[in-house]
Amino acid sequence: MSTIISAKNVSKWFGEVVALNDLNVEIETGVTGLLGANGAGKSTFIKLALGLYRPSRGSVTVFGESPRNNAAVLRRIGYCPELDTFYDNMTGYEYVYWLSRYWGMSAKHAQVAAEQACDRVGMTERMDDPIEEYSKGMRQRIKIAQALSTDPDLLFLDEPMAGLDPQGREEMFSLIRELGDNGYSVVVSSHILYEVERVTDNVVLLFQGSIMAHGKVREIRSLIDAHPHTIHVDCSAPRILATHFVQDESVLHLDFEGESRLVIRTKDPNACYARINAAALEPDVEVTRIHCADDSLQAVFDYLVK
Amino acid sequence: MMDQPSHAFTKTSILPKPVAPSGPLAQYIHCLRASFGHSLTLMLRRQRIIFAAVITFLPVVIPLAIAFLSDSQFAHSGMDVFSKMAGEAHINTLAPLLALFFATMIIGEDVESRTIPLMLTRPMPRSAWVFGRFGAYLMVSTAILGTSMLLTFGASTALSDLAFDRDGFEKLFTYELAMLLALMANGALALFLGAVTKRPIIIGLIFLYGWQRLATFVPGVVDFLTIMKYTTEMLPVALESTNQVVREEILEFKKQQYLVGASKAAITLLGITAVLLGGSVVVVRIREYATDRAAGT
Amino acid sequence: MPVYTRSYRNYEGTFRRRGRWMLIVEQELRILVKGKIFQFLCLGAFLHWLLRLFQVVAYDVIMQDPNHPMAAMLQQAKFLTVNETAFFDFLRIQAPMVFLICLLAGSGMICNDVRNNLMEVYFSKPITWRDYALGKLLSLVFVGLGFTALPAIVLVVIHNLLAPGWETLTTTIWWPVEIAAFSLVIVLPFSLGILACSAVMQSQNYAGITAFMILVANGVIAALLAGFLQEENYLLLSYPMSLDRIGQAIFHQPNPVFNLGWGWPMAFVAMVCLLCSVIITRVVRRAECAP
Repeated sequence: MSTIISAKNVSKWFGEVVALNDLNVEIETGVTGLLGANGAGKSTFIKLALGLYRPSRGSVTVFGESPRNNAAVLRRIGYCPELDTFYDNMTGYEYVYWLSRYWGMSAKHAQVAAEQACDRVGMTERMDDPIEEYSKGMRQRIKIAQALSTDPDLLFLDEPMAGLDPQGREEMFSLIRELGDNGYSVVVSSHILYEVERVTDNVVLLFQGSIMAHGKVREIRSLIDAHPHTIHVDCSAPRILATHFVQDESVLHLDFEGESRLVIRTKDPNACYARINAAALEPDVEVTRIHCADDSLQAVFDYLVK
Repeated sequence: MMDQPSHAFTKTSILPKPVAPSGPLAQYIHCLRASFGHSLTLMLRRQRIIFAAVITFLPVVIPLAIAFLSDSQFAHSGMDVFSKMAGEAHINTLAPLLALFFATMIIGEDVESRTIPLMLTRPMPRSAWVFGRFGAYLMVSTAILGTSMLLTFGASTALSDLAFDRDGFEKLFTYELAMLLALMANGALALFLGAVTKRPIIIGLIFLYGWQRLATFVPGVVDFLTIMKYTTEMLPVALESTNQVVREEILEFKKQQYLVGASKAAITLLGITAVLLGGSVVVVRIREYATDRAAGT
Repeated sequence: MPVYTRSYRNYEGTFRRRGRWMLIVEQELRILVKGKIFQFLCLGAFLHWLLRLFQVVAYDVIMQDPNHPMAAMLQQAKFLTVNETAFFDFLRIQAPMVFLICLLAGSGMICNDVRNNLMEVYFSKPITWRDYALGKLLSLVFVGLGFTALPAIVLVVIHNLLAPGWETLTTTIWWPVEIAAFSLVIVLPFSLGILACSAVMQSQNYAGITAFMILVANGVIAALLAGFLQEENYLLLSYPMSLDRIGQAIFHQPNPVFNLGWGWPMAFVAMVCLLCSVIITRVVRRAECAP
């Protein structure tokens, strides 16, 4: 594994608004998920890595060089923007063709590259139709095609699953996994953790312009062991069950949701589970379901950002 | 520092490896041609080019109207009519209009349609992108305006004092050249405004039709700060000329108005074009065009 | 305090039955006043108004007082006289500024809504195409009148306040009506024309330049035609000249720009307004009825 993107003390602000704040991160080869809620700074980071923005402070290097106005770096990068960015009166094929020409391909090579890229994303049949007639999913696929047509070493996919139907998502997941398996480096941004979990376990978690966590999902999980866990217990008498935890010092917070749920926030989940098991034996309590919110990456994310 | 400075990848390409032209000059020419071809395709496909052509061909009507509507058709000098049409309509009115119509959007359109991040993430010299597009603008606008001027010339031969002869063609060539320079200088200005601001049309209108007209009324050398000053200087016949005496008087008067002469004017127009094109390239390199600038997006 | 069992609840206020176009006007004006170019153009228009204010004050305070030390000097300056011509000139000079402001404000009004899929949002609310079109048009008209009729009428009021006696009032009693009429003749067709361009074009920049191209090309061609054929009535074909002719009729100006009566240019302006209205209506209604 080698580092392909390196951000050192990077800050980016627009007027008085800070989009990224003193970011330090090194992204290695392979598929990396860029996670964060809306406004976390994901797209700003991608645009810094693409050289579209200059850092207000610090430096960003891609393949060891600054990407801004650097043809050598940009030649190895593909970018699929989040927004629909198309020219009017143009077919999908022409869109990919012209963007390949701008990359520096000759007309002949660009034709072949555009056809094959359209074929790769399953757009061969519709590639000669005007983009205005495309569905959201087709538009997304043609954007991916233009990014793939130059066979980049590093691919930035900004919210690639946005607007896709379930089948389209599955195809996108398998495409990204295939790219990763074949040695491509892919940076996928999303605010939906499930999507990223499907393609990689290597994530960078951004929150309000700063890095919240970086690494494997399981490593991040271990980071939160020290954090309180939330356990939801569905039972017939949550108030009676709550009495078992009132004296427990590891329990930080007790809450009731409706008439049949107790929410326990604890620093010691194992002790808490043991106490719930004991309480469940009481006839009045009738525990029907125990659910820990920490079972998914979403919980990891929630913990880290709250 | 990087772990592997070479950043070598053991990648298995899922698509054929693209072939990049070898050598910086070949790469530059490839990008220039791509930019030119793409821009030309876009311009020619849009219906608005028909509208621009219709407006541009309106001056052809004037000599025809004189020929058919005037009671004294042959009292009008075809040369005077053509000179006035070419100078006032084609060069000083329509050339700036076409520049605003086409050239402001050379970069502005990519900003407006949000395709600019795609352009700026291509491994091409920014100057190749700008020059290619400027070339496409120049080709389209010259074709439209040049044809209109040619037709106006043809229609003016229906009047006296102008014919399809050597003198006539020389005169036509001079005006076509002046028109080309006017399109270049005005186009470069419009391109620059399109690169710098989001509302290039308003600022362009204020400069080209506000400031330029105002400056001609101000005594002294203020009009040196306009493009119109130099395009007018390129014209072989004083615009207001009606007869020899008046023409000489006007020329004499114009001399007192700090005449720069045709050759100097042509060089100045080329200089303005070069500076503004260079400025546009610099702006494109420096400016952050990415559209969604909201914090954190 | 009411307790709701659902997170979603219906709107419980009263629906606005009339004047929903006012919302569009309010929204457009809010967006417009934030623009720096608009503020710059406002400054330009305000400077012109200040000059006219100086003219009114100089005329009423100094020239009317024979004992004033500057009176003799200013008596020579006939152009300082405050009469109908002064207000006609004021509005005529404001007209290009109004055109620019309408261009700035109006060129993106419809095409930007179409581009950003805002038409669907508007028409998913209880807003009809009439509210929408009227709101867009009136926002431009109000802005335009704010630069023409409003400052001119304020000048008339100041003129009346400064002038001694009641004679001025009887002389100027119809001036506000004339000012309002001519202002409307300037502003309404401009607004409709620019909105029509915005409805037809896909980009606000193209909409703006299209409107300007039509105006300039039309004026230049008419002027050249009139010049070459030595027939000033061809100036009727020039839209700006037609406006001038109507203004001259309204303000009782001598030496009209062409001899044809004011009915012809008025018919020309009305035709332009009608054509533009048809274009706007078709585009907006098509958006409202789009599947």
